Amino acid sequence: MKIEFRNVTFKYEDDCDLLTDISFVINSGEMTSIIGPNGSGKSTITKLIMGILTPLSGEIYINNTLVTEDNINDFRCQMGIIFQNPDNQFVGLTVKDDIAFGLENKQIERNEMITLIDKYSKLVHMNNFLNHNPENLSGGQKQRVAIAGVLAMETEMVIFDEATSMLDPIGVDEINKTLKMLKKQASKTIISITHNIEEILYSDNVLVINNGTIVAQGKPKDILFNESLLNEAGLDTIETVKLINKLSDSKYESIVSDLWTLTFNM
Amino acid sequence: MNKIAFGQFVNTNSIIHKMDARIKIIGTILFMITIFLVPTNNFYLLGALLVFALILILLTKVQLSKYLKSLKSIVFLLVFAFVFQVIFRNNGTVIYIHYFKFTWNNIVVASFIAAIYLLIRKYLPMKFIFFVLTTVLIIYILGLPMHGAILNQNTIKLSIYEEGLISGSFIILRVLTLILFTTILTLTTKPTELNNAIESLLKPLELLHIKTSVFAMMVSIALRFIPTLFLEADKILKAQASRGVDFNEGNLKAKVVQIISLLVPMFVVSFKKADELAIAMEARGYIPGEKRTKLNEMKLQFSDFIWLFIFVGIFTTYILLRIL
Amino acid sequence: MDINFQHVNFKYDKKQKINTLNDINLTISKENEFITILGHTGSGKSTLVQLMNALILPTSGSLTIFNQEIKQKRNQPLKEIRKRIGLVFQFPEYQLFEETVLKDIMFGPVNFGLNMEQAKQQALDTAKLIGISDDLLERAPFNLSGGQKRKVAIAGILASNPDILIFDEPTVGLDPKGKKELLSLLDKIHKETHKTIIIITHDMNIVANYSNRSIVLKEGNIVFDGKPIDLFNNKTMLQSMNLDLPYISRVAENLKAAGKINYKSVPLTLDELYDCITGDLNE
Repeated sequence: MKIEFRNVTFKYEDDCDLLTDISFVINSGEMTSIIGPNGSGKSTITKLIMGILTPLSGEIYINNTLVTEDNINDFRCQMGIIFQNPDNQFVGLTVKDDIAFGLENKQIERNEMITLIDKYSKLVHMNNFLNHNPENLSGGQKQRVAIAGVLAMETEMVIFDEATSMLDPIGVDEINKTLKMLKKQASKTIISITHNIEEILYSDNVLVINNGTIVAQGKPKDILFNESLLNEAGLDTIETVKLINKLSDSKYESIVSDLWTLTFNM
Repeated sequence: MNKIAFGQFVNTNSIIHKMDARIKIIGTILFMITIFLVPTNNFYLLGALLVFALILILLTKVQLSKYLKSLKSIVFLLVFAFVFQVIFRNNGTVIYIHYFKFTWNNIVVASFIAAIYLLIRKYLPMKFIFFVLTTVLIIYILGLPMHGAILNQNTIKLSIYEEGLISGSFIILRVLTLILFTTILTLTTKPTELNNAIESLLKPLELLHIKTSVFAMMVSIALRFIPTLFLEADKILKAQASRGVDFNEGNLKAKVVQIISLLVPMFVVSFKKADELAIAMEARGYIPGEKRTKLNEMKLQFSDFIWLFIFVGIFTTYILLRIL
Repeated sequence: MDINFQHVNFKYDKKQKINTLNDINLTISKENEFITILGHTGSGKSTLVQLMNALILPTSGSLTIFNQEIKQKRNQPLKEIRKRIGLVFQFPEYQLFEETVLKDIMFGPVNFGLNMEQAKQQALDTAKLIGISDDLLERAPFNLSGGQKRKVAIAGILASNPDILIFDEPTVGLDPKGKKELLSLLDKIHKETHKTIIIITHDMNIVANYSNRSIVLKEGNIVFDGKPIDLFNNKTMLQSMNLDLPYISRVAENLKAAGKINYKSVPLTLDELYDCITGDLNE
């Protein structure tokens, strides 16, 4: 699923601009990270892609077709989204019911539903919890259920909207592992919205948003290296990169190359 | 964290548990009507229903204590109804007359017992039974021919009539049977199943363009979020307590502020939850009133038809007995 | 000592088989401590700090807070304890309710017996210390950004001038800038007033960079209580507690394993690792 923003501006009534003149392309089958501080307009972008909001000016194209009110529903059923708060997106009374929720809405037949629930609960390692209530699950487990629920709908695109920001380190780890696996296995278009710099490492493309505009885009390595730009945007680069920037002398070359490898493999 | 158990469901996987929830609901409703079809003071017909309820209870394999627990909450009502019937019936055959004699000695002894009861009440296990026993004891003492100045020349008497006892017992038995049937339903059926069953049973209303599926979704969301909201309320209570809110003190004005300090965050938290939930549901393709398939499809088994046949059979028998 | 736990057990429900907190022995002074409390979700961290504020009462054992024995009974005077030990909950939404930010900050001090004038003065002083600008004071707390709300919530506790400050996961959901601001604020409070600060956290960088004492909970038991560096230097213990080293220390470990650097005590901060690398290569 290819998404293209052309000079999109958005604001709520009588408010200052949330997004000003934004243009970018998200290619089909790629993973794109959108990173920026709280209140920079990241989540507004998700809502615009989902068609929950419509731009004040500018156009959004999905698969090279202009998005309008008439066709947004056709596109939206090809998008899945995982939100920030694990508790507030758990609709079902049990894990099984929750994964089924989207499938029931899509009017999938019962037998097929059971197969899909089985397949995707295994994928996120929640197949032993199918009859559990949400009260007995950790934040990371609830988030994995949400992921299974979205994947089971087999949409072309999945959006992670700060899906890890309310989790403990174990939960964050669980979700990031799932995300990496997803990237390897499926040819899905993935958008990951975050303010955690470590989560951009394995994406194909990074957009940095600050104050409603795109201040940089590029490969993870280039973004990480631009420490001053990240600092300006209220973000922080990875500590190894800070160290690399400090170790400018050529005699540290071998240790710097080690640090680069560690950055991407730890 | 404290877990708030919702509903009373106890899973023993018995044949009653496996019965289709719709049949259980229909059965419960039929029995409720049947209980009121039993002619007044006909202990045989009512007894037969009670026996049937007891058989069902045995089949559920749920511990009897669970049933007693649900009866506990209505014991007061039952005793009250019984006493009311016994005291205020004043025609028919008298079987016992209790004469009150208010002498100083009687009153002192009776008040002494009342005082002891009030003092030790806190530590008693089954308060209500002790309350009844103490009351009976006091009434008994007030009837003893003790010495001392008689305060009241006109004797006050309490007459117990046979009819009062009979109709009192009948009422107790009737309510008891009724509660047992509904308890069987709630102990053996998950809240979700109940909700699905009600949705399914109300389906004919859709012909009148009433969206029962939306209603069922509302109930389901409520079941899902009530425990969560309880936990949130607990956190808000503690957050304000640590800012010096003390619910045991303060004048009326302070009390109002205290309550506002709980209600406002509760509303803010609940609305935020509702808002995020609505967006999440919409994002997963939920459109209110639209047709959906169901994971928890309800299918009637052969055994369900047998149960239905039994329930309807008993119901019609009682109707016929009433008419003939 | 100002907070003293002796063989304290706690359960939420009599029917609970395992204690939520088990045989807790702990003393905390009101001065100069910067404590981080670590442990996984469900290990009893939040329960422990709620006991310190007498929001819940011990099931058995002896808990003394500022020389007052906390008993398992209703109607004991706890207000003084709650004034002297300030507990900031994770989400500001749980406590903000007044029409304006200023009034909300004043709520605690007024409850603890100050008159309106004094409370207002306290609130204004606290707002200044925390860096809540004057134009925010008359705004409704609900319209603020997440970071601002959190500051107001902290001010609401700090305004009562507690002796010990406790924070339940204060940085969750904040972006890196907000996180840094908040932590340097806590550090400033600690350095200027010498008040003891206790933070529940999962962030090992906070443990390494700010705290001088760590308490680790596992399944309701205290399994470590001591200096962070002692915790991080004992690899087997860390693993048994399912805890991780700070990011920079893990980098250091990898470099050491590759034979690039060497050290006796594992570097906990960027500067320590930098010194380690440059020092080694200069020799």
